[in-house]
Amino acid sequence: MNCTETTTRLHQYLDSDLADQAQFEEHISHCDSCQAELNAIREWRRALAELPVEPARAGFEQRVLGEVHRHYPERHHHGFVTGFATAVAASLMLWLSSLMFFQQDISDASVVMLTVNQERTVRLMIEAVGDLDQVTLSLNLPEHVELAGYPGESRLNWQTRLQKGQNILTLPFLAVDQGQGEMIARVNYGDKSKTFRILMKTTDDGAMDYVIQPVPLV
Amino acid sequence: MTLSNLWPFQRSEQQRFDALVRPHLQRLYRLAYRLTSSRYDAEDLVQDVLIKLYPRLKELAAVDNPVSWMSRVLLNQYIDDYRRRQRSPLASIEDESRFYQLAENPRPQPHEVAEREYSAQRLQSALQSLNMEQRMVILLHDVEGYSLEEIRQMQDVPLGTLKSRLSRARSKLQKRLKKMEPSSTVQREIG
Repeated sequence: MNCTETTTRLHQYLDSDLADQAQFEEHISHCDSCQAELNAIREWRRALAELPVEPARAGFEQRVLGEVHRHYPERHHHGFVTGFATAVAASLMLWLSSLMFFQQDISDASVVMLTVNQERTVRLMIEAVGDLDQVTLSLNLPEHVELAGYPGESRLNWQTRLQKGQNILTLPFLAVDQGQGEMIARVNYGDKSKTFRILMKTTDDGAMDYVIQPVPLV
Repeated sequence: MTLSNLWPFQRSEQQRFDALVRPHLQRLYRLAYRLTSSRYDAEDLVQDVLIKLYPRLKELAAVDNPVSWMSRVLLNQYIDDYRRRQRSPLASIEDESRFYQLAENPRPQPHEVAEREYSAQRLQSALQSLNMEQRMVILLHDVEGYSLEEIRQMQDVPLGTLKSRLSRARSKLQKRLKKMEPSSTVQREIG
């Protein structure tokens, strides 16, 4: 290999993309000018890779997202119920009576057909013996189920308050795939906790059933 | 029976969008900065991209690799902006004059006389001498470390075209860097 051939291969060599690497290295080992050229290229490529990036100005993320929000102002909803107005099919009332103190009353198992990729509204009823502040609700969803509006999230938590009597939690479920698994709903208040497990499964034709399993007090 | 506000946190579209893009904003900014070399222009570019993507929230939520898609949109936005600026004769005159001023008067520092040194300023100036396609491929490949295959997917340009662009970009960059060296640098020995 001569100098002309070598100098046309300098970048390929640095890219480790040279078929005749042995001949290249053989020439480089006894040619000072080609070695110098290789070193120079290695140096400026290294400097190029190390070119600094000025950090974004403070508040960059907030600023750009703020501009997007101004560009696309949020449509106003009349509460979350309106948001579910477009959900397909009927909702099912599941009577999950959860009393934080003393009482427990789980409804009989119920079955609902849900269709893959079609939202279905499920309402859970939670009964409290008194007004309760700072109640935490959490949901652990099975793999094939999502909550509409929360794509890809399998664990969700909210802080809320319960009123004395019956409280309705409306959940828009979406089966994104066929499968079977448990949804675990947990209600926490202070050091007290109540867990409900709902078995959700997709039938052969893609519809999803769910069955409430009674569980003991946690 | 009370339909209480047990569900106060149904995410709005804005919240969903924010949750989806926020983890990738710094990476997008970095890419935008590489292309524009300016914090302000980089921020504007990212903002324009987000405004373009917002109506496509559902699609964005459905892709496996949203940052790859967002990067592609960013590159295309940059190309559109660049071509629009190029059509303005005033902008191109400003760019050219800035380059030649730097190239002809590199003002070598004392420690640069005896050996080659590739300062950030010199490299940035040399990069500006490349055409947009060449500059993009060298920034993405040699600076940011994307593979040619990744760049092919981002830009939808054939691999062969990218390879030859990269080769020409490097060659041109090398020539510009040599031209910018102080005249007293090492004389090359031809062996």
